[in-house]
Amino acid sequence: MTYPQTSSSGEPLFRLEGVSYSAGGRSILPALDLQIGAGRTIGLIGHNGSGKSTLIKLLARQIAPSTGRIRFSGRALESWPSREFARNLAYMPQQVPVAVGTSVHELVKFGRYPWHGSLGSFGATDRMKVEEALDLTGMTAMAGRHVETLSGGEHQRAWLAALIAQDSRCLLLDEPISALDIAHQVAMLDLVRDLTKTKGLTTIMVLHDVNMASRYCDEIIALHGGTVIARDTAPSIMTPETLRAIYGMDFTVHVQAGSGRLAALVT
Amino acid sequence: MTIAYPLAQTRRGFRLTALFALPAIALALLAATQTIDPAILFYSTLPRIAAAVVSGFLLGLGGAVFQRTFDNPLAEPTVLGISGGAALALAASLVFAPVLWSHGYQVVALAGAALALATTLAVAWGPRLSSSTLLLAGIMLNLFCNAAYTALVLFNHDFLSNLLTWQAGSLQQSGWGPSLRLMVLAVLAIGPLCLLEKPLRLLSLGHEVAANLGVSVRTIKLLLLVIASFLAASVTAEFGQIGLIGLAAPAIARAVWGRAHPGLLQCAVTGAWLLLLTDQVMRLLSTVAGDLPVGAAAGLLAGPVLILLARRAPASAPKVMPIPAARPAGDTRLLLLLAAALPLATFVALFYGHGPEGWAFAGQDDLALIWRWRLPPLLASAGAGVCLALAGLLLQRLLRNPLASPDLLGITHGAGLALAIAFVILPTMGVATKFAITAAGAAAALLAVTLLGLRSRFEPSRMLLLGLGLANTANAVLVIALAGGGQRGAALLGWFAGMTAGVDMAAAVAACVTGLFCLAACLLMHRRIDLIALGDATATGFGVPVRTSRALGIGLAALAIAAGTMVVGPISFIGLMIPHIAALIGFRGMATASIASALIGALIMVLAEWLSRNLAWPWPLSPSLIAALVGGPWFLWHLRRQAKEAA
Repeated sequence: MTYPQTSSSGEPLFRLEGVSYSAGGRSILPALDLQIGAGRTIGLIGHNGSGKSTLIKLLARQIAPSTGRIRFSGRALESWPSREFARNLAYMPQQVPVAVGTSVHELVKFGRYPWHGSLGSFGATDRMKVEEALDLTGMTAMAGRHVETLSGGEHQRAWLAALIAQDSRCLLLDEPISALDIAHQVAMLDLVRDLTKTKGLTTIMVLHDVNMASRYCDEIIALHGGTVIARDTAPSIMTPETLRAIYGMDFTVHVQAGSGRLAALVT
Repeated sequence: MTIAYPLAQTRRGFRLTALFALPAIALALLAATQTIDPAILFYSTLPRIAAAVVSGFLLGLGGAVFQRTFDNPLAEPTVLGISGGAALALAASLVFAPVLWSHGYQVVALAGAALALATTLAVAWGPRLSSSTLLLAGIMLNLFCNAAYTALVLFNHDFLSNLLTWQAGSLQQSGWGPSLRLMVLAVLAIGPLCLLEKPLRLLSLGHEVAANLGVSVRTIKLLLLVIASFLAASVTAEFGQIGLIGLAAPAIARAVWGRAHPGLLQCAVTGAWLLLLTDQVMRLLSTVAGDLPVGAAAGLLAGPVLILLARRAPASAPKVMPIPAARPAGDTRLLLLLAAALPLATFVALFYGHGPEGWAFAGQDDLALIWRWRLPPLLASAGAGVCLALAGLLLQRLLRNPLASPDLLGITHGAGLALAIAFVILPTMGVATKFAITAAGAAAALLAVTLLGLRSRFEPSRMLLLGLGLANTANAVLVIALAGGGQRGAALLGWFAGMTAGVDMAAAVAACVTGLFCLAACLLMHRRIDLIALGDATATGFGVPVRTSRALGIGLAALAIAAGTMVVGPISFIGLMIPHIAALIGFRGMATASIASALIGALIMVLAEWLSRNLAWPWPLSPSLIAALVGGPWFLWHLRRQAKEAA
């Protein structure tokens, strides 16, 4: 099922107005005005402490902004009922909790909760979605294993499967590939990109590797000290000047022969 | 966990401590100056002040060590079985071997505490000395010893009524002996504990990290627990059960010093001024209200403080509650087995019993008798078993704390309090009036919990503090009433011990209906609760309305507790232990765990009721006591088996 690019009124998916967040006396995000359109893969990059996780948590309604308003699909973020919101938006935190005693299959089944709820029956559609999610992430063979026996990477993939089973139209992923080896990093991001394209999802990912971000994201938003210092397509971001402004380091940008992809290497 | 401790916070901590310690010191000075007779001043007033300060110091110290070692705000120094062991040793020796008292009762109490600690350690022994096993074993041992103690006191009431005063805790002195002994102990303990403080901090990073940093986890844990237990046991041996200080001092220190883990000395100092303040306030009040035991009175003072703290407590770090893995494929079969055992047990309990001619099957002419005399208590016990087991399960899953139990919320104490007040007004009460009053008391406590819980948004760590505060406040008033002695005390003791004789059919049916309603609700909410057990953030991410679900669940638990307590009195064992028993035999998900807990609760109570009626026929025993006495050793043995398997 594909979702329309924007809602019928042309509203962006996320609209932030004057949003700021401070905690423990520190201002993590000074006032931010941002609009995020639907149907694209967006990468959030920036140095540690630049507010990437905070921004994603604000969008996922995990924390409330100190000031300002956030609108999701034209409605105020706080006004969305819990299950309806979960059917529309799935969030993977930076540190996924280890649910001791739960099997991978049970974990992915949890992802169907927003659809069948407390009292609804776990029907054929739910079963199909769970199997599909396990299949896409390559976790079918490990479905019976308990989550605490998995490696860090397998654990991240299991959670990604749960999020895929959640079948929402927006995915917010906070460093989803941090524990994966390069082969699985590429596999996961390929999967996320395919899903985004075929189902018309919106995906916002926090990524540390700027090369991965440029390879997979249609648009990159760069944060620095809580403010957006750059927002553009990958080729425009991947210039030494912009990268120095973002990371404070000198990069050289190379073009990969054959594919034409850009790669930034630290000098 | 903040690494930089701002100077402002430390200064604020000192200021607040001085602020609170000032009234305590002022009252103490007042007491000293008011005493005219120098003999009393030297042999009574000053030792009492010293005793309060040093006991509070030791209890605060022990409480801090325990809470940090176990990373659980419900852990207190006597949680490993100390208080139960000491009490049982005292009572048993008084009844069976009074000669042991010739060297002073302190030695006997210490020996009992040591034996209890050794048992707990033996159950949990292994390469890792798992915290959860230690806690469960210790609490079970406490319950067992307290049950045995209550049984002894019940049957030797006149003989042992003095022990009730000890149980309530008293700091009244007639010499410097106890205070000096404890002071020596404090001085000796400070050194080792300060040396162990750094490894203690590392323990909170987790087992693997601590081991990686070179901490021999098992040795350190053992040393810490033994030292802290010894400190608490010494205080208990000298002055009785002064329970709340070990729990409240670290909580108050957290608020005063603004850190998640205040230092050991800070908690000790907090404990010192807390107990001094309490004792001096009680001393002042005793001129008006008679002698009040300080152990219970600590609840009066510290209880409301905990309730206040509940509102300001920082939200606890997300912690997933570890639940052992489910059995491979034995769930349904075991459930069916339990379900079949219940009617069988009920049948046996109804028809096979001790009569005037000995053990016999009831005949046809006895049917009316059975309906009138045997069925109501049996039904009531079964219903209460279901209610309390489910309440415990709900609280443990929703508050994500394996030590949560029905008496945590203070509802059982509220019911008892109402009864105590009623006894003052109406010394002789009919059974129906008694039930109405306990129900009203439970409902009032339920209302208090709900209203206060609303304000703290039902967040787990706040609910724990809130419940502790409420429970201990109510308990304090109750114990004071009990220690008042006399006929009132004896009657209250009966309710406390959980006698079901005299339950009528209406109350029994009410308990059963509430239990079934609670089970149905648990099954309806099972998916939400399973998700909540993963953590609030995760559950919210999957669309679970966490706050409303938790509020509903706690309200349901409170209702069940009220129904259960109304008919069988306050039993800790069922609500605390049955969910763990269900988990031990392999029921993990909320759905199967609810059914299993309900069935096991009903079974145990039916068996206990049957035994209590027949064991000492025609004198009825208390089913809750029997349940703890019989269930305790079985549970400990099973825990030991699981610990060995996990090792």
